[in-house]
Order: sequence, then C-alpha cells, then structure tokens
Amino acid sequence: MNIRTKLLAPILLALLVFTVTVHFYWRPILLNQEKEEIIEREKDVLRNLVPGLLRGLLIGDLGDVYVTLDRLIEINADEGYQIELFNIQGKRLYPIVSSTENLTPYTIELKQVLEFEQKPLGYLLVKVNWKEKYENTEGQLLSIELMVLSLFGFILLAIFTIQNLIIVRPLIAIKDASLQLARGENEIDLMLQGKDEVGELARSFDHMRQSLLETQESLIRKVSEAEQANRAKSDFLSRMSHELRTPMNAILGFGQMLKLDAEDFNETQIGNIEEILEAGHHLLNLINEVLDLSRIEAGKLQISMEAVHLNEVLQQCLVLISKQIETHQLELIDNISNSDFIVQADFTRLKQVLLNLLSNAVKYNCDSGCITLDGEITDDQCLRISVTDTGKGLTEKEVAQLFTPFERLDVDNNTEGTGIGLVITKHLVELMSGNIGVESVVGQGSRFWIELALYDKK
Amino acid sequence: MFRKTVSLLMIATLVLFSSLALAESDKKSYTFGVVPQFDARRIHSIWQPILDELQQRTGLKFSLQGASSIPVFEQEFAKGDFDFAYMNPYHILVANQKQGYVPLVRDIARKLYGIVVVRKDSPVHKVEDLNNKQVAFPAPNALGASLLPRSAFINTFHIDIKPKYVRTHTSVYLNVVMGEVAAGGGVQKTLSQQRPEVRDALRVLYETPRVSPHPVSVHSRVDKKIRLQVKQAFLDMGLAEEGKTLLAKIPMKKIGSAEMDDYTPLAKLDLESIYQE
Repeated sequence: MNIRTKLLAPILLALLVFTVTVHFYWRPILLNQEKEEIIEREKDVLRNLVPGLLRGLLIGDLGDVYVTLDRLIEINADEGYQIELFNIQGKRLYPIVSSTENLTPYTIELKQVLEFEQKPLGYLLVKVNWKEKYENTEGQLLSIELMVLSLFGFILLAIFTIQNLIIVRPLIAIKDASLQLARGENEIDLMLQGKDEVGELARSFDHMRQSLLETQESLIRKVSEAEQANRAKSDFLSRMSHELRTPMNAILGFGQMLKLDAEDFNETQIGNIEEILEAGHHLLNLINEVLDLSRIEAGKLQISMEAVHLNEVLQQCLVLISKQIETHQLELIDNISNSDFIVQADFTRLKQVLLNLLSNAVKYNCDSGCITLDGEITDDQCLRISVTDTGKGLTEKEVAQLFTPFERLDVDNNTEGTGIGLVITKHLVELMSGNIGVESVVGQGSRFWIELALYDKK
Repeated sequence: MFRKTVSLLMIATLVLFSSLALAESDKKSYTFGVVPQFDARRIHSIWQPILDELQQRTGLKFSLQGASSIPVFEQEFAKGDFDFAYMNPYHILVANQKQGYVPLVRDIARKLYGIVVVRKDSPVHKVEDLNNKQVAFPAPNALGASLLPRSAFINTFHIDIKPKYVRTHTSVYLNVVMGEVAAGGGVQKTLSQQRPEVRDALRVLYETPRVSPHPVSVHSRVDKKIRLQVKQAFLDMGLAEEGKTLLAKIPMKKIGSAEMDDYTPLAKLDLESIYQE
C-alpha cells in the first residue's frame, strides 16, 4: 500500500462510515417517524369521526355514514385511502363493494372500534398508502445525504490534496531521488526548500548523498591505488623470479657438473655439493611458485584442457612423493590408483595440484601417520578426489585463511614452503573449472578435496 | 373544513331567515310554509324565486317559513301557523281536519306512490314473504316511502313487519343493499337518484296505489279573493316558460287546480292508525 492510499484510506473510511450511518441508521428512523406521524394523524381523524358514525350506526342511518366516509375518501384520494366499516358481527357496511386493491409494503392499516356506552357497535378499518409520502421523504433524505456527502467529500478531498502537496509529493521526489542515486545517477536536484520536517528530510537526504559521493570517490581512489600497487607487486615478483631463476639455473647447472666429477672430490665435498643442489632445487621450486602466482594474478597463465587419465597423473605424483613418505614413515592408502577415471584437466597443472595436496599431507601429518586417497563421483557428474591426512587438523579460523596468499598456518619455521601453495592450487583448480574444499577436525586431521568434470567419451 | 363550511352555511341561513322575518314589518305579509323534505338551503333556493314571482304577479307579500324537521312542520300547520303551505297529501288530510286548510294547486301530470325494494338476489318475491321481517323506512310519517307501504302491508296484505326508521331514503336503500333489513320503503324518484351500485343491486318488489301529489294549500282564514288571486298566479306561472321552470324544481311538472276530493281516496287508506303524532 503506497502512502497516497494510506492517507486516502481513512478519509474514504470516514465517508463510508458517515454514509452507512446516515443511510442505514438515520434514514429508517426518520422514515419511521414520518410513518408514526401519519398513523397518529389518521387515528385523530378516525377518533373525530366516531360520534357521527355511532349515531348513524345506532339508528341505521347508513346514508349519513356513507356521506361522511365518502367525503373522507374524497379528501384523502391522493393517499390511496381505503376505509371499511364493519358491524360487530364483522359484516361490512361500507363500502358497498370491497376494494380489491392489494396491500403494498407502504400500506398502513389502522383499526378503530366504535363503542357506544362501552359496547362495541362495529369497527373501522383504514388503509393508507403512504408510498408517495415515503418517496417524498426518502427523496428529501437522499438529497440531504448527497449534499452533506458531497460537502464532506469536498472538504476531505481538499485535505487530501493538501496532504499530497505537502507530504506525498516531496516524499515521492525523495524516493525517486534515492532510486536514481542507487542507479548511480549523482546529479540530482531535489528543489525542496520547505522549512518543515519534509524539507529537513530532503536536506538530510541531500547531505547523505553528498557524503555518499565523497565516500564513493575516496573508495574508488583507494581501490585503484590498491590495484596499482598489487599490479606493481606482481610485476616485481614476476621480474624478480625471472631474474632469480637465471642465476639459479647457473648454480644448479654447475652444481650438477661438479657432481658428475665426483671422483675428484672427497666425501665431505660431495656432501656439500649435494646440499647445494638440494637447496638450489628447493629455491627454484619456490621461485616457480611465486612466478606461477604472479602469472595467475596477472591472468597470464595458460591452461590447456584435455582428457586426462587420473591414474597416470597419480602414478607420476606418487613416484615423486614416495621418498618423502618414506622419510616421514607414513602409510599411504590408495583407493583410486587402480580405477580408470578420466577427467577434463590440464595434465601438468593437475599433477601440480595433486602433488601440492600430497606434499601438504606429508608435511602436516604426524609421525607414522596415514594418507588416504579417495575418489567418488558426485551428483553433478564430477569426480571428487580427496586427500586425507592424520595431522593436527585445522580450526575454523585457519580454514578461512587457508587460501589467502602468504598466510602460513604455523609460524614455526620447521615446515618448508612459501605459504602460497594452496593459493596456487585453488587458482589452478578454478582455472580447470573445478572446485576445491577442505573438511577438518582439530586433532584428527584434514581432508582436502577437488572436484573436476568427468571426461564425457561421447 | 367540512364542519366549518356547514356551520358557516347554517349561520348564513339563520341570517337570511331573520332578515326575511324583519321584512314583514310594513305591509301585511302572508306566511308560506314548505314541508322540509330537503335541507333549508335547498328549499330556500327553490321556493324564494317562486314567492318572488308570486309577489310580482299578485302584488302581495309572502315570507318563506322554514321548519327544522317534518314533525315541527306538522306541529306548526296543526297550530295554523302558515297562511299558505306546501305539504304532502297526508298532511292536507290532517291540516284540513284541524285547521280547515284546503288545496289550491297541485301537479296534475303525475301521481304519488311508494315502492318497496329488496335486494336483487333476495329470496323475497312477494310482499307476503316480508311477514315478521324488518323493513326500513326513512321516517314514520313519510307518505310515499312509509305511510303508503305500511298501509298496504296492513290493509292489503295483512302482514306484520318490524319497521326501522333510518332518517333518509338513501339510508333505506343502503340498509337493504347491505342486508341489514329484508326490504325498504322508498319512492321511484329517490331510487333512481341513487348511485349505480345501490340502484342496480335493488329490485322493486311492490308499488303502492297512486295518490295525488303534494298540494299548495291555503288556511281557511285567508280571504277568498286572495286565495283565488294566488291560485290564478300559480296557474299563470304554469303557462309561462319561465314560471314552468321555477315550478319544475318543486317538483311540479304540470300545475293544475287541486280539490279536497283529490285527496279523499287517501283518507280511505286509514293512515291515521299508523301516523305518529
């Protein structure tokens, strides 16, 4: 219900109540009063007739009775007046022929007993048709009703118009202005100068609009600044990774050449070379991750989707991770390697994703823990691959931070990595039109899963 | 409104009559009584022009004498209050006996008779059927409507009826129509004046023997010369077109000389026994 209706409703209701009251309460009362008056008057007339009629009845002078009653009918002819005289045995004495006119709802019937010395001699029956009077009175009432109603209606309409001018129209203007504002149209002139509450409302609205605009502008400014900074950071990281990779390749290359000449070195030297190579590979790995992230954020990472045999990817991953599993004395329960799932994915990137999840499961597992690999088909024809560990598990807050760049859950430095592995994983899964998620219970372990579309052979 | 009009008329009539009484002062004025068959106003409107005409024709002076009712009129002529009087045929018998009134003129074109009416659907088909029944009459001494029928019931049919006197001819007919009485006495003229629904609901059961109608009579104290003068004036009026019109209102269709002998058949009807003084 809009405000106009709300304002108009009580006015219309008042009109309705007035009309109903007048029409259904006062009108019947007034009409009834009119009827009572007619009855009283007719009764008076009849009472006055009694002595003359009594004399006529007593001596049988019906001629006189007829003259009297004929005259009465003649006088009242316009009221559809009917009068009948009966003797005490109920035999009609007047008129000669009984009127056959039917009773209408407007017929008033009256009876006057003719008594002589307390002895009834007969009675008069009078029927008066007060239709014309009824209609006259009704017509008068109706005109009064209409007159008062139109006056009342006019006043109320005037009130409504004033209300409309003072309250409704400004309110609607403000409403329209807020809608415009919501659509992003900033140039609004409300043109409301009133000093009343509505004017104040308009001014407050305008004030609010101004501060909204200011806030919006500063936000836009800040967002663009932030975006610029982020881009600069990504550029920097990207460039830096490239720069770092070149010397790293030299280090690793020359390290490997040294390792090939192993017979020239003693054992300590060979151990040192191994350390150099290991640290170098680790560092290269980190650089690659940072490079990946910056590529992803810059939207430069290319994905090529194809049909991928899950088993094939998984076997390559398990070869790479088996040494770590061994080192940490973990048990691997593999429930999917022997299945023949084919998914739509980028082979290399899927391998990277699975490796990341597996290496996390190794890294954050407890000693002599267990890693479980599962695969199941979801309702929407996706394959859900899950990696479950028996580590410390994650709190809700930790889960919320998981996929944010550079957030490392435990601050102790025993655990390797940059803290962007899961972020990259998430981005990669999403680039492959998949989903990633985690369920975790503190003290029992975590279950990371990804969902990828199954390859449709058709 | 109705009552007001009536009282105004009554006052007007009173004033009229008193002024007539005053006019009597300078010259010998003859009183002229008229039987009050109609209301005073009507009687005045019929008879005053006739008396004016008589005055012109004779040079005599007449004053119209009203009576409030027939019994009062009867008492008045019994005392000899009127010099001249228009009375019913039975009255002339009484008046002749008591004061020596003699008839001067009468309507010679028609005869007076009474009728007995019953409802059209009445089981009464002959007068004898009315034995011991209630019969309405206007008044005990109305000649045509009451005296003649009652005389016939007694003297001709030898039946006994219960009379109900209802004041007017109209009331008689209405009482019969409404079944209040078995039959009613009236005269042909008043019957034909009734409204159709009354007239058509009635059947004439019996017509009485015909008698000579109302005479204008003169008291024995009036000088014979004057009597003749007045009689001639009436007869002359009957010849003139204008006078005829006036007389027709009495009603007298054709005026002619009246003798006491005209009314002797009436005496044989033995009306005295049923006449109520």
